Amino acid sequence: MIHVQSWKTELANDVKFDKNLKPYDFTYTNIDKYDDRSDWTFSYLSEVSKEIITVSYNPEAVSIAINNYEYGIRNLLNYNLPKGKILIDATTLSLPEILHLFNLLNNKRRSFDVIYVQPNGYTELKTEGIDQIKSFDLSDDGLGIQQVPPFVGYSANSMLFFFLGFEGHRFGAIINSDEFDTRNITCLLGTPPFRLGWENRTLSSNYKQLAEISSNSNARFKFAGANDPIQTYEVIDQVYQSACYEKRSLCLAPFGTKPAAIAAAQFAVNNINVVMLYDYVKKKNKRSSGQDLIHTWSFQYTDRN
Amino acid sequence: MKVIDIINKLSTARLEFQTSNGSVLNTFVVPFFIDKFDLRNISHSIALAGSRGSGKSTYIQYFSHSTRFDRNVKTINEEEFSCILLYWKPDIAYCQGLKSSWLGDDALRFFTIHAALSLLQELSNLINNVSYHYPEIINALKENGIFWKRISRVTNSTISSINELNAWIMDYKYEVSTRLNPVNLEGILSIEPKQMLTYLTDALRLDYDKFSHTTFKVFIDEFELLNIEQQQIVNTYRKESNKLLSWNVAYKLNAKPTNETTSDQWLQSPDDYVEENLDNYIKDYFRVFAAEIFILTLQNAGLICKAPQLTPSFLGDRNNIELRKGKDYQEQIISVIENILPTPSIKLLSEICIANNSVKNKLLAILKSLDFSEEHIKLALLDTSLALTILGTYKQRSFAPEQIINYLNNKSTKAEERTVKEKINTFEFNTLLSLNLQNAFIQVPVYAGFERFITMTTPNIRHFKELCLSALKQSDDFDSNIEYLYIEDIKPISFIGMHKGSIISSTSLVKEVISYPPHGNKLSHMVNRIGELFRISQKASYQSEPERNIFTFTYDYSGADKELEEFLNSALSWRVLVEDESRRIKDDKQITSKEFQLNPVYAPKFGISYRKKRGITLSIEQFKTIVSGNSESFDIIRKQYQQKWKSEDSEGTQGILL
Repeated sequence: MIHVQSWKTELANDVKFDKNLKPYDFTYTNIDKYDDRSDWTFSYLSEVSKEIITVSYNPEAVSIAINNYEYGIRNLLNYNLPKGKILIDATTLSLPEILHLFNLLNNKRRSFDVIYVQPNGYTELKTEGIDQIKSFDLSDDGLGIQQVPPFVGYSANSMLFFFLGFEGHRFGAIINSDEFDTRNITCLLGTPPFRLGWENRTLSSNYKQLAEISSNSNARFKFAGANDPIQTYEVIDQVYQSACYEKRSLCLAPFGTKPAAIAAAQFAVNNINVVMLYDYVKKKNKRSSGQDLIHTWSFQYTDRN
Repeated sequence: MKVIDIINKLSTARLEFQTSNGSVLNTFVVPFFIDKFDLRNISHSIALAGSRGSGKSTYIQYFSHSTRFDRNVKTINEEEFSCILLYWKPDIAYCQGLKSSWLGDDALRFFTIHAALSLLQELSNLINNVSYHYPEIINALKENGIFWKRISRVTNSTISSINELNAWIMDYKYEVSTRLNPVNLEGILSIEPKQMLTYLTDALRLDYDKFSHTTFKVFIDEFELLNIEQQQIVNTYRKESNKLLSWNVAYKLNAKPTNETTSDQWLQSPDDYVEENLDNYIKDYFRVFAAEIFILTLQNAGLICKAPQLTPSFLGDRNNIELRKGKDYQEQIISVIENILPTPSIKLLSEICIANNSVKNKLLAILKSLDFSEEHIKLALLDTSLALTILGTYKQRSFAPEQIINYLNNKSTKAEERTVKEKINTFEFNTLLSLNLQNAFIQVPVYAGFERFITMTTPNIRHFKELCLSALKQSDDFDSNIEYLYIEDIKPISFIGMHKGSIISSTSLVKEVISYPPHGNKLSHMVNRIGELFRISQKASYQSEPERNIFTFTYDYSGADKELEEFLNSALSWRVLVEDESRRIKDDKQITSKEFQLNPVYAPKFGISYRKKRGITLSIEQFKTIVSGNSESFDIIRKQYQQKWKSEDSEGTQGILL
């Protein structure tokens, strides 16, 4: 299993490089550039890593392309992991890619680091009129909500744990699809948020959906720091324990912040009977602006006792 | 009960979430068409299509053994055994996760195990339900032993009671759930659902005489959401349906599930199955049906209906259909609901409007400017419909004051009289809509009343209930401590309350569109942008084409643009759009045969008409920009229309009636 052994945080703009020292042998990233952060991250990675390896997940073929070479998920263990120190760039990779890399590295018993760069802000939707709730323009239509193989399982009778983000319609998609029973849903609110006051954005973006589920279900709320995968992991574990007690599987929908998604991926890799949901939305260009803090988490592989 | 308690009770979601055992006893109003559409009596395999919210699942569940043999049913007719309906709603998220691109051939193996275990559970529930009323079934199965012997064979375990079977199913489901990550099917049973069901239903016939002539029908709900390969398997079963065991499906209207089977013999309609459109059945009776459902819902929330026959059991009993078709009964039910949600006539709306001093003053000024005498002004103001029509049409080039004066003097020829009446018919309601949009201080309740709720929501029961609920929230008694005991105690909701409630519900439903997968963003663009265009049209002061709310575009639906057609199907399937054969938009160059209207329930959000009236023709490029263009490109289209509709204004720039 994998666990976070250390966590380092710096201001992105204060980062200094030793030109002669590249601490990582290779880094997994996705080279699609969406915004300021991705540009910055890409130049950062070039400074700290000897080799850049691109990774992208294809949900229809259920395969993962590593440096453009396709591996079916069932054959992913055939991938020859290079020797050396590994970095995963969670800034540009999506949940399914992070999840499969974690699964791969866990199976190969390798320790690794994960970096994530927080933005200064997210792009708001241009709307007219004064009565509009502020909403965010971060992604285009995806494939719809699906379970991510191999983290597939019964959704009837499962306990749904939804991570709230800035796009309430992604939550709405779960409520409106006929496939999920939201009567016993638990929601995660990332607080403290990346920036003071952003928890209000999360609440206002999801206001309609929260009103809807609270009218006909026993919605519960959990809180964990928006950039804190360690605390998020603990919260997931609490929900998982209660799901196990009720003989239900846990269904994670990590549609909130990336650090929370990292915790979800780590949790799924470490535990059985965890179902993972994702909607494969297409990230929009220029969805965020600036780069604020850069987090580096060191994940240690340990044998399960 | 206080209003707030009623609202809280009514806020529960879909009916299927309210039932834990699959029974809809006393929560279902038997529709009038039930005798000609009894799912158990139809000999061919059925594909039941219905739009979202039309009540497909509830309709099927009404015929399923869970309702027919519900423990609360007092007497069971032996005829119930002639056909037993098994209802299976697959675990869609799970089934969709079983992709063959991931699991190869194992994908279908996992699917068939899921199907088999679910159907086994249905059989177990069937025996359990029947045993409430016919306890001897337990002994018959025990003594004859064929069913339990075969169950043991199927499950490869020794099982001889319902409790043991339920425990085995639960354990086995858990076992299977642990075999996906990592994939490992070693030692897992291969159960073929159709063979299993044939084998076990045959055993039931042999063991228990009441089943000896039973037809078993399986209904698979949400069929369109299964993967193609899974649909192919089910289609193979559908093709092989027979008198003893028939396989049927239900899906959303306009969904396009495959007709392929696992062989090269595809399903063909009507040879192999018949598609039945539930919406078409409901449409004709929706008004009374919706009223009955709302009254039933209020009773289930805890109120009592004074009218003795309007009880849940009366409404759920098909023997009462003839009575319910009677005029007296229908008048009674409508009067109960009209007492809560009274519908103001258009004439009354005009009176409300003219009571506004600004409107009245403007009208006086117009009539004076048209050289109407004091006497004629007085007469015109007495005929509020006419007065409103004058306000909405006096700028038109064809406007003829002398025609109106003749009409007021009762000196019109028949043709003239008809022309004036037609004008009122065409422009009165349109003027009210326009005034609302043009002036923040005018709020004519154009969306108020039960009858308008019906027009806006047909055939969607869920939307109808939402409008009613939203109206109740505007009750004058909302903050009071007044306790209601009877439905008839509910104080009529004010017109303006219903109007506001409709706008709130409509706005909320429009906001929901973005979360309709997989094209939520595009659907939301389309609804908001087309709504905006029609709002601009409705706001214009001069309209040769009133109540624009229909659009069409130049496309021949030949399959040339698959992406576009898939998008439209999704819009229709979610009922964001309503489709009709093109007849209103007349254009010789028109190649399209279809016209679309935004779901009328969205009309209040945009302040436009919910009635099907006039329309516009877009170019395909314009439509695509509306659906997926950025806001700058849409702005160009918006301005074009703004310009076009403003330019029709004979007085130029003013753009408003007041």
